[in-house]
Amino acid sequence: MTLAVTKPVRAVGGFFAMSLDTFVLIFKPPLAWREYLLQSWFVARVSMLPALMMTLPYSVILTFIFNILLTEIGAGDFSGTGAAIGTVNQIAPIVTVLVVAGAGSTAMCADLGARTIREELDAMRVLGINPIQRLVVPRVLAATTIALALESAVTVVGLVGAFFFTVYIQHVSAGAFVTAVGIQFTVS
Amino acid sequence: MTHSVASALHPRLGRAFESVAHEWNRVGSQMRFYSTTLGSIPDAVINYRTEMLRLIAQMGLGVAALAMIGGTVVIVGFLTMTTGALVAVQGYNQLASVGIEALTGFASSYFNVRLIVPGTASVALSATIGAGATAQMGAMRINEEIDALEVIGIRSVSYLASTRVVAGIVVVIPLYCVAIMMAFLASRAGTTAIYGQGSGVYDHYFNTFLSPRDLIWSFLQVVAITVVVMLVHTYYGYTASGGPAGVGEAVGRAVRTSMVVAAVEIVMITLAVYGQSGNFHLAG
Repeated sequence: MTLAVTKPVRAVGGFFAMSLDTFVLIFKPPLAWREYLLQSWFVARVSMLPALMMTLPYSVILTFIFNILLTEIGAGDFSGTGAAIGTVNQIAPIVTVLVVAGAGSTAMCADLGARTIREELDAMRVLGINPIQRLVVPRVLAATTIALALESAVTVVGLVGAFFFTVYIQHVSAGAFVTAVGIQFTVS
Repeated sequence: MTHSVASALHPRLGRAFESVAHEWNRVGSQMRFYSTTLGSIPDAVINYRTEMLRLIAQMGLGVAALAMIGGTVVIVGFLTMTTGALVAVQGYNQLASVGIEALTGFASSYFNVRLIVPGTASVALSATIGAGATAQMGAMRINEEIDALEVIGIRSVSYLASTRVVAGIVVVIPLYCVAIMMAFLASRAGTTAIYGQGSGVYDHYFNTFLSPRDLIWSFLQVVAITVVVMLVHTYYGYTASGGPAGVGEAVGRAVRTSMVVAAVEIVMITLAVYGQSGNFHLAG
């Protein structure tokens, strides 16, 4: 019984301990930059297409549902605002995280898990190499960097998709849409 | 003794064609798997009832230590709770900027039902029961348990895949209720408790604009998403290869594919159901 109770608690504790280790080791040279580049390329390669394919439907559907409401209250010209708020504030971050987690991180998990099972990590420890510094830190940094880049791509694609959907299918004036998007992001 | 092998004519063209053909065949084999799975659902319901009940119990509440902290119900409830609270935050603030924050209740009954709960549920389903199914079936494939099943005369597709699809559909019914209740409650709590709107105002607009027809469509949407998610995930689990790491990669591919497919499906169903006019009347 005590084991059943303490097991989840221990898992949480172990997670925090490893996160702390990783965070400290990020600032400690040497950085495994070759691994970092390889992993960045890998994450970018596997997440680009799914991220774009996921953003388009979600931003289109959000714009669609928002436009129904706006048209109903006679404010179709503001549909750009809805698209901007929805895509930039909500959809782009969520999609980026989901895809980086779903596409990149699962593969990393499988990779590291397989290495643990084959006792490669233990072998590294025996050789005096810290597997967290050599393997985990570059992966965390790579996922973070690519998420940043992906987020901008996803935002642009989402807005462009919403533009075409709104203008050509829901017949809102293109100028009104662009102006509304612009107003939303004007730094005041 | 040396023979010179004649080189193939247009090797690059041939390779390109082969890769296209390979992709095309993969789509075909996927389609065949899906139709077999769907076709053997009656078989699974009649002959493999025990396995199906076991899977339903496992998917719904989780087993052992997992049940305490993270059965699927808990995860989905928590996810929709956060997205529901998001409606309160975004809806209240954006509506307040044009002076109609009284309509936050309407935003909750409109966006939660039509977009947020199906979207969140699709992600949650593919990450929990879907990924679980891929991992289980992938491990069975790697350990040659699926071949063993075939050898002892059990139809592996209907025993493993069809039962999981049915179990997913059964599990998603209460799951949807939990999800939508959590979303509504979180939106209400966020608006009334945190932003201090009168609960009467919120409830009035919420009840006025909550349409039972939309709720039923939203529910059917989630069921359709579940079917597709479970099909995709069982396919990738069934065809996993390459050792333990291969199972992990199969899970990644399955999650990726099913999230994209679910997103497209939500768009298609929403456009089909609500149409271009939106089937919505603010003024009654």
